[in-house]
Amino acid sequence: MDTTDPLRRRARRAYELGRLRRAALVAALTVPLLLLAVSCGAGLHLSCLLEIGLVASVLALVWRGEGFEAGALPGLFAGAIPFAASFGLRYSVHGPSTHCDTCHIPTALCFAGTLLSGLAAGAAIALSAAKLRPEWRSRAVPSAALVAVLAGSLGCAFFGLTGVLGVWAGVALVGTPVVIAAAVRSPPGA
Amino acid sequence: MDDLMQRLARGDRSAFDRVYAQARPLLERFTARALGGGADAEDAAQQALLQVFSRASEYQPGRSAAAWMLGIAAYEVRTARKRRARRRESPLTAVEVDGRACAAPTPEEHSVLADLEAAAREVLGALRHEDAEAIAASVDPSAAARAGLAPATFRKRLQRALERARLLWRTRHGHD
Repeated sequence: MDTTDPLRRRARRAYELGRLRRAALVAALTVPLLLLAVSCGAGLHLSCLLEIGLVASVLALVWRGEGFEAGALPGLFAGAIPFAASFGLRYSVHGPSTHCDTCHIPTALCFAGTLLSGLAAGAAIALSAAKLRPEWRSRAVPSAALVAVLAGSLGCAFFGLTGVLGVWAGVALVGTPVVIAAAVRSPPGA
Repeated sequence: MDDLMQRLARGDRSAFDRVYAQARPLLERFTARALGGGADAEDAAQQALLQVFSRASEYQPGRSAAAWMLGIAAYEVRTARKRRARRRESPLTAVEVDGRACAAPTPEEHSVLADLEAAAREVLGALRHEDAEAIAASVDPSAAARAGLAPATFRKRLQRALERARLLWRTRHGHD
């Protein structure tokens, strides 16, 4: 194939831009999470930092395609579990108007709650990985875990860094064995 | 082709070259046949090819890749036909010089053309009615037949009308 063919180069650029457009559409799904988290009192700086990381990750994974892309959407859905759980925990104890400064929930309880929701997210990722093509699992599971951790952290940012660490630990506890198992079982060359 | 297109849709870049090698001649043949070749057909084929790769991620497994590509090409062919029809509807956007099509005239050329047209109309208006009619009929041969004139008679009348028009033009504008 003649790689100097200008039409071929334009076609390749069109292809990459098309993939980027698709990635941008999926990344746009994360914006409501940021708006919801910030409007409900999560720290603005931490939330924006997490959102930037989340958008960049989703863009890169979906653009790259194959196993990486296969993990992005399940990761977002799995991340919705700790996101929603953090809302549930906060509102069930304090109602809508409390900020972290005036919150009386013990830090250990925040950590435990976010850790549990992180474990649930990890389990959701493991379940969705079982439905994927075997050769994609070793890439899809870490991708899904990354997206889930960032999306879940947006919700758990209510609880500050403790909440974020909790969800990371939860996803890592379930996700790591799944990644290792997928890597061991995946066919050579995948 | 279906399998290659499916791989490309999933983000497998290694399928790109083979899809390109198969898609390009397919689309070029299709647009050449639909538009009768020429620059319009080449443009439509290129646009279709770029659209196919831009929308490769939208390709759904199970569909015929060739049919999907030709659907995109058919849209580009329709667009090319509309563009061609628009060009025909606006004659002042293209000028013919010595039988060759030139690029769209500049505002200055447009103004000169309008002046020439006005001068020609003025000269035709100053001719006798029969002479003006003969010149007009020379543009539309069926008009001569409708007038019931024999071809030889019409040619003679047209020749005389053109001589008078030339003389009148020279009198008014100084040159042919």
